[in-house]
Amino acid sequence: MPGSSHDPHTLLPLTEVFYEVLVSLGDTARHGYGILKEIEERTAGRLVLRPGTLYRAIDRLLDLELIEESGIRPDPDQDDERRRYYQLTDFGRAVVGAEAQRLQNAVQSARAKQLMPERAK
Amino acid sequence: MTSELRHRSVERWYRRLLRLYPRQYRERYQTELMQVFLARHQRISQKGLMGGLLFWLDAVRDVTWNALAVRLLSSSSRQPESPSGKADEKTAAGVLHDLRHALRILIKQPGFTAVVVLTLSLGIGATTALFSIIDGVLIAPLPYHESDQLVRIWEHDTKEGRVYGNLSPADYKDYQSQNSTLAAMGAFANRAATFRTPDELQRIPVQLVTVEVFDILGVPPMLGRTFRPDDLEFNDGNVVVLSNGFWRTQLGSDSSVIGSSVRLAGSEFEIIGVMPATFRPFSGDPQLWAPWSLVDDDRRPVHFVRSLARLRPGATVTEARTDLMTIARRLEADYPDINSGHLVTVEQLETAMVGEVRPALLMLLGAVGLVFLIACANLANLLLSRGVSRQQELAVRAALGAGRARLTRLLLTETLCLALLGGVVGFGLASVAVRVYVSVDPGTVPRLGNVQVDLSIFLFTLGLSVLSTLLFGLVPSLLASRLNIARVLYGGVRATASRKTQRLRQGLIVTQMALAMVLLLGAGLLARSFDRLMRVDLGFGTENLITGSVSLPGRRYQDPEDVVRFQQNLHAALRSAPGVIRSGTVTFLPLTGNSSTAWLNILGRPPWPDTPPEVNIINVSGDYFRTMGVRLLRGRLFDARDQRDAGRKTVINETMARLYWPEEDPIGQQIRLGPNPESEPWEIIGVVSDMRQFGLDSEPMGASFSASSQETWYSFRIVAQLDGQVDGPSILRDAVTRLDPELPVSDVMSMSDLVGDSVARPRLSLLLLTAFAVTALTIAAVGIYGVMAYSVAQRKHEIGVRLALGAQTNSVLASILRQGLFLAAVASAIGLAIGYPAAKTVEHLFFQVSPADPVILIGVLLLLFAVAAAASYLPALRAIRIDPVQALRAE
Repeated sequence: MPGSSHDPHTLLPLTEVFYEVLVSLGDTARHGYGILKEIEERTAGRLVLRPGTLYRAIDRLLDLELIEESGIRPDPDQDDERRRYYQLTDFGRAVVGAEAQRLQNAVQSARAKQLMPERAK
Repeated sequence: MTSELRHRSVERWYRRLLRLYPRQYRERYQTELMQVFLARHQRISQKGLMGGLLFWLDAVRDVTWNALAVRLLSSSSRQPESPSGKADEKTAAGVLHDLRHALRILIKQPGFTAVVVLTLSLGIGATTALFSIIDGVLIAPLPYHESDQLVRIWEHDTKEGRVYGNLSPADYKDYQSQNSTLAAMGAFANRAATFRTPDELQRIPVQLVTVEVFDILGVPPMLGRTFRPDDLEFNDGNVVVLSNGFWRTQLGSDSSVIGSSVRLAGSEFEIIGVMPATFRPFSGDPQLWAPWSLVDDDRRPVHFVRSLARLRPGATVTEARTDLMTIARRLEADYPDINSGHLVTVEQLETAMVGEVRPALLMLLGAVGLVFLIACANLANLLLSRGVSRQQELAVRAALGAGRARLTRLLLTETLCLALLGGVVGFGLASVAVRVYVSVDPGTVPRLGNVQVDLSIFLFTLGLSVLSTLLFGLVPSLLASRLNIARVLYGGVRATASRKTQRLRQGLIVTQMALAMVLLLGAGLLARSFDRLMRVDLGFGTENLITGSVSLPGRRYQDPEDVVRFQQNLHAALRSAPGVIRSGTVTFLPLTGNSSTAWLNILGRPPWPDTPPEVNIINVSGDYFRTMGVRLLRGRLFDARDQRDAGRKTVINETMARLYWPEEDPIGQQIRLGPNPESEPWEIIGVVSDMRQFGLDSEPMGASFSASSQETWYSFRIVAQLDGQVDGPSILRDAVTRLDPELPVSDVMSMSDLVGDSVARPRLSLLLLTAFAVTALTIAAVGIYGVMAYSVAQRKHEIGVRLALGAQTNSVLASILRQGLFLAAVASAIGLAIGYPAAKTVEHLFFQVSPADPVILIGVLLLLFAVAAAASYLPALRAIRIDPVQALRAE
């Protein structure tokens, strides 16, 4: 059983789906549909998750203790009792940070070799 | 559907889809999955039908894929709470595990997989193709309202032995008014009418029907209406109902045709209705229907009426038969000189339409079933030997805790994968085969338009695949899973087949060969039968003869002399055309089954004890006899002396001469034709050799020929003899058109095509059965080879020893061949025991061939032994090449 005492780097690299789900929980706890919508908006429609894929990822992330169910809920009049909210664990935060760092290093290497396409003017 | 209902329906369907997930997973996430799904569904609900469809496809894919992943990859980390959930999960996970394993194994052994899938796909494909044809032709109900209540009615002329004869108008009306078992009875007749398309003049088939017929069929028209009783009164009967095909091809599917008119046979007809595309004619292939009335026709001795009726609710065909038979007997008593011997035949419409092909189709189904069984037997053999060679792997699994049930399930899953693969490929092959066949069939099989390879056929294929799994997979799997673990893993014993397995394999081989023999027997007998059929002396030549039909319209040829003149000019035109040797005309060509008959009375002889015999009456002009290659046996043919006022002259055929003047010369004798005792007699001037008027397999009837110059018919066939490769059809058409541009020539074909058509059905049966028999034999041969090769490999050690001890290679060869031939001998005995009775049941499909035909029997036996010997020979060769030293060393 993976525990919080594990080294975050052992789980890298993350799949795209795992990464984006973790990132979407970076600023606040969300429920499933909220995660889906946030990712879609943030990636400008590039990544549209299907419910099956989303919940399999959530299930696995819960398993790996990268996320947990959140006790924080919005105002009662906006809330739906059936919805479950998820948030990052400390370990999860560490893992997604490590992955982001890894990605940044990868980008820098590519840029140094002038492999990146030109930025739009 | 309101949006509330739609919402609930969507929910329901998605919930069903979610059942693919393991129960435990569902308990955790079903609510959320549902919420997210519904939220997404809400967003796309404006995208229309296509958008909705794509969305659902995507949802199905999403759930299926992820559910599979969850099941396959579900680790032990999520411990289930309830014990029952555990077993559930384990089984589900186990099955999927078996599936992955099975697919892996099959991919790793492409050769084996390919052979199995190919053999299976041939067996399943052939069975599926034939079944789909049978489904469309025999099983699917006719496209009429309550079609099992529809019957056809014919006159059964017991004197002439004609079971499906036409009724007379008077008889028809009596049946109609006196019956108590029919709700309605109608009459029809098939005719042809000239129709001018923008390109040419055609003769198209038209069906005359009394008012009741469309009501009896119970199929409403797509446009307009069908006939009413007053159509004949007020419209002079100048109305027509169009077939869907005619409406599409000739009138461009114009939906406003009702009320417009169409020109047929030189007159205008108002279009009052169009039938739907799903409507199929029950007789012939009419393009239009016209109304018919027999109200004013009370003739009893003339027979041209065909009848269709609907049973009263609750009445059966048998009751109708009895009912009408009673009326027939009454008519016999009331009109003894006309109706004596005239009974009635009543049959369900369906039997009438497909009854002819049913025996042949069922025989073919039996044959293809045998091929399927042979393929399964072959595969069982293959799997048995594989099971033996996998004993090591299975023993390891068993040692790790897999019970016998588990091992069996593993092997069965492999077999099921193979079977499903074979089924899918087989289904594809069947679809193609059926489509090809339907497009090339020359009209041998009725109702082919109804045949389609669709979902129900696919389910049939699926069922066959599963059945084949059980047939060829179950026993090998059971046998393979029964191992002595210790013996296999530690005993160092080579994987060998148990005695039981060997016996089973040999038993399978014998079964295969026996079944193959049955098929070969059937094919052989059919081939002989077909050969006999083709050797039948037709009585006329078929080479280089072209024929075409014309029908001269009475309005433009009012005087019979006009017709005679037309014929004379036609013969002159044809003779002068390059490439034409001679020509003639005739009212009824041989082999077409068409004829007109009349009573024969011979002057100077006492009258017949009851109804006089009938003879064919055929009218000819020009050089007909010589054109057809018919020989003059006595007397002379028609010539310029035989004019209308010169006393009626007739030429008779050999059969007629033999039947009625066995001891004397018929030349100069006088006969009377027809019921009228005052009619002018005919003098016999010549005797010609016989021609077969009906099919190849029916005996010729007496025939009396008359000359067109003395008795003129308006519809006839032209025959012309060509001297080589010229464009016969064009020459014929040109000659006619030059004489009369308004006259179409129809049914233009060569005489050899005409003959070909009459044997099309037996030829087809023969081709298919031969194909099945050859396939079966090939599969069986492969099977024998497999078993023999395996047996040799098993006995390597023993053979090596024998060779080392100085045994002659020949004796080794002989012992192996003996083994193969022994199996063949047993198979032959079984094959004959099954085959002979089977052949006897379909004896009526053969022509002049007995099921015990020694030539065929011996031929088939020799073939079987030869194949068995050849299939054993290769492994035998390999056996004698065994290096004794190697064999002894390998231990």
